Amino acid sequence: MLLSQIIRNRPFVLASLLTASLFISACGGDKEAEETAIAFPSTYKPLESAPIFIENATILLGNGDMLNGANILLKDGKIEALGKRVKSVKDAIEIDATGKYVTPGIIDTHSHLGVYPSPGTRSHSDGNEAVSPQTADVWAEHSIWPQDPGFVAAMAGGVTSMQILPGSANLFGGRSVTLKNVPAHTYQAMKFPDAPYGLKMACGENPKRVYGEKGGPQTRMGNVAGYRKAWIDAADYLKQIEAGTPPKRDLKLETLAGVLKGEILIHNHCYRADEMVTMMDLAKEFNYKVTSFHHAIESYKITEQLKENDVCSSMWADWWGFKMEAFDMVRENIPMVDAAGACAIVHSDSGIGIQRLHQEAAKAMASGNRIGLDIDEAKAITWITQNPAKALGILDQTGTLEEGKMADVVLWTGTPFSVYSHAEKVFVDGALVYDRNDSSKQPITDFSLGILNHSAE
Amino acid sequence: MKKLANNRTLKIALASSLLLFSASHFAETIVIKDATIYTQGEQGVLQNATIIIEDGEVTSIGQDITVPRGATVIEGTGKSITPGMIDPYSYLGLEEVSLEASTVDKRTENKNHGAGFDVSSALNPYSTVITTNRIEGITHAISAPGNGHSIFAGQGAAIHLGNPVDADTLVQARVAMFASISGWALSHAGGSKASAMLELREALRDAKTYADNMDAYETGALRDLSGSRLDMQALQAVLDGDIPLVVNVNRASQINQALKLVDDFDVRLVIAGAAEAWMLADKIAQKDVAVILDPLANLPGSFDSLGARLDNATLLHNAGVKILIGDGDSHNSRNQKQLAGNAVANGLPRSAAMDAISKNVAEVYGLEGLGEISVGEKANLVLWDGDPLEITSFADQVIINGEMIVMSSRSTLLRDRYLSKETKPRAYVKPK
Repeated sequence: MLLSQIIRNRPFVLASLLTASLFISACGGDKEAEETAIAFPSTYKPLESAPIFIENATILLGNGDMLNGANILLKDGKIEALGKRVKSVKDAIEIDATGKYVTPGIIDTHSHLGVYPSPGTRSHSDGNEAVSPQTADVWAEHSIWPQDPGFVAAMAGGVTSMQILPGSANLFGGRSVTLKNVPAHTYQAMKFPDAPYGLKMACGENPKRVYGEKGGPQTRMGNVAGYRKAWIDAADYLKQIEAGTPPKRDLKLETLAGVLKGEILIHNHCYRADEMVTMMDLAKEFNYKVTSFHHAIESYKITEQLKENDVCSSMWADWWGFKMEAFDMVRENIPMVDAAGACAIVHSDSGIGIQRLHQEAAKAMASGNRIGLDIDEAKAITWITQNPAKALGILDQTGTLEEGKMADVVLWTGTPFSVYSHAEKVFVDGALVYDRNDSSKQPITDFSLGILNHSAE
Repeated sequence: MKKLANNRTLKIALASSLLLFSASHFAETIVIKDATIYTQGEQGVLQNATIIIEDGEVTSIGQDITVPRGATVIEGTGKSITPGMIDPYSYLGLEEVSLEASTVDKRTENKNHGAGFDVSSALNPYSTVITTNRIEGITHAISAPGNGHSIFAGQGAAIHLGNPVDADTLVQARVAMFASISGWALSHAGGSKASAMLELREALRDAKTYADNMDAYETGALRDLSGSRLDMQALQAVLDGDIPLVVNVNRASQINQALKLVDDFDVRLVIAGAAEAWMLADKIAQKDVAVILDPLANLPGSFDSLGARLDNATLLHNAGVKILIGDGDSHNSRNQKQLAGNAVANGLPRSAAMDAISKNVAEVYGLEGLGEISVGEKANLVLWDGDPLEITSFADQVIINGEMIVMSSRSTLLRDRYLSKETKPRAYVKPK
């Protein structure tokens, strides 16, 4: 079977093979060439761990349900079993979680860790290839500085997976990458195995501000003309490949063609309701899908359309006012999207915010409850677990606590919806990667080694 | 608006129900019953306590209080009352949409306005940023200038977020001088921290020279000074110790340099930003210097804050430093309680965290009658639907200058428009 066909049949699972190999194989079908041509493959390997047995916890499953006084067993990197009657196994590390909570690992759909790392320096400002409005050829992973101390800080906030996106200067900002939040000195060693790529697109003010005096787009109508031109080129490129007469590889069009084939997911920075509807229309014109709008300040105005088109909204709990397109914030945006049956996600876009996505979800939950939406913790946790996993195309592997899924799990000191609670232990693929009470289980990146904060402790 | 029936017990579930209240009813007696009252003052924390507000003034706080006849009674069971939050370092009233320059007055491009820049004449009391924040518990703020072309940003004002009188929201102009010897502002001093310190010290010395030689200055007989006449005049209040000098600085070694200003110029120094202040906690306490900090700022924004950590507030407090909590994002000044709650989660005692968002701010900026709840003062307080620092708590009612404010904003009206079940086009749906 040609690789392109395999990918078409299993759109997400093999998406990491999508790159060069897809187009080489489509014409040649040389199996060996396909396998050697995987670009920048993941080298992630879970840490070895004894089985983990967490006992008598309040477990928020991430799928909207919860269990009280329940146990969960992590074994061989997977969730082996969970429920009230689940027993420990030989050699398991047993943890009493009485009074504590267990949730899936937190997932952020919108991070710039590594591409805009701390400390902020010009040398490491690698998130926007702001030289042209169409840079679908760049890949965020090539900008990631794995030493960003923000990764470790996010881990202390229970974050186990995240999407690293290019910035929003460009109409097409480039490919995103999904990472496992594990400390490593290469991004390949963090790369979530088999997660699909995303493509960052941007609506509105940013592209026109950046390019308004650099040849355009200068207006929102210029933005849309730019998207349409690119999709026309991509459709033509794909057509030539499918006809068996592939043109010379073009990295921009290769990424766009991946979107048209349903293998690369669109993550669209877009604030205003009217622009989001334009983007959904655009997707219909060119027969692709928007996976998630990001920032989506005005999603509450178009909940029906979002539901109808099965588009997620990655939102903040309360950010607003920093620019015109962020002026129509309502605190109830997230719960209103959720209540309409559309896919609601709390995202961070911030090295500080990513450490407390649970608090942002808590604010959104409480805001929703004040208008009578009756949202419980089991529901609200889906905004930072199941739903982001769906938007990143990894829900079949993580994002909820179900038997057989990756054991990406957080043990909290209390409800994650309290300001006073902390992530106490964080497990990625069944291995303890962070422990609040054990400094030997608190990684620091190379950069932070010997930096005053740590030497002073 | 209709006046409330007397002696009516109100169940406050939704902000919208509070629209019943008139904006200003000084003739009214307001009673909040059976709440936990965090006075942040002499009376400490009172459980199941009642507060009486008459003609806008707190007349009684305690546990065994008879509700006066004819009072508007609010049931406070399970709820709590705190002083209104005061943002110690904001741009409230000075900035509407941050990236839209036409709506931003906090900084000037005028090169003649450094220390002399005074934001008090630019305040917009009808800013949506004000209404959005006041319904969530911010009753007052310091509106501070941003740096223009000098390491001196200028003079900040104290404002209330209550109902404006004559389109004015000012409590007191020129309550503090703001300067920055860190980050972006360094470019105004040539890019070096050493230049920034030189400029700061020279300006203070020149301001003294100006004060001692005003006649000569006016006749042109004095040498050139490092700032304009307005700048030199504005710095007098700093030299006289009438207002604090708030210096933005993060690196410990630079904080140490700034601390020398206390001895050398006898100024009332306040350190803002202060990421590495914990390293000098004892010395800062000994100099009686207050610190404005963001308890969430644990990542190094630059090489000046490599020592940033989550328990900065705790370490400073334990050393005896007076801390003020704020993060400089005025669109969400309302999250001051979240910042304080996180400080508690990282070891700061609750009472200290609450002081850091009210009482300490009032003390540092000299705002009398604010920051605590005490008998004889105008009521500036918040009724919360639970633990005031808990992330899931919200304000049920905010009282500013003795008035129950209308608990709606552009944001809540937008919400209500899109929640409405009415079938007509949304533009015709006009929530109240």
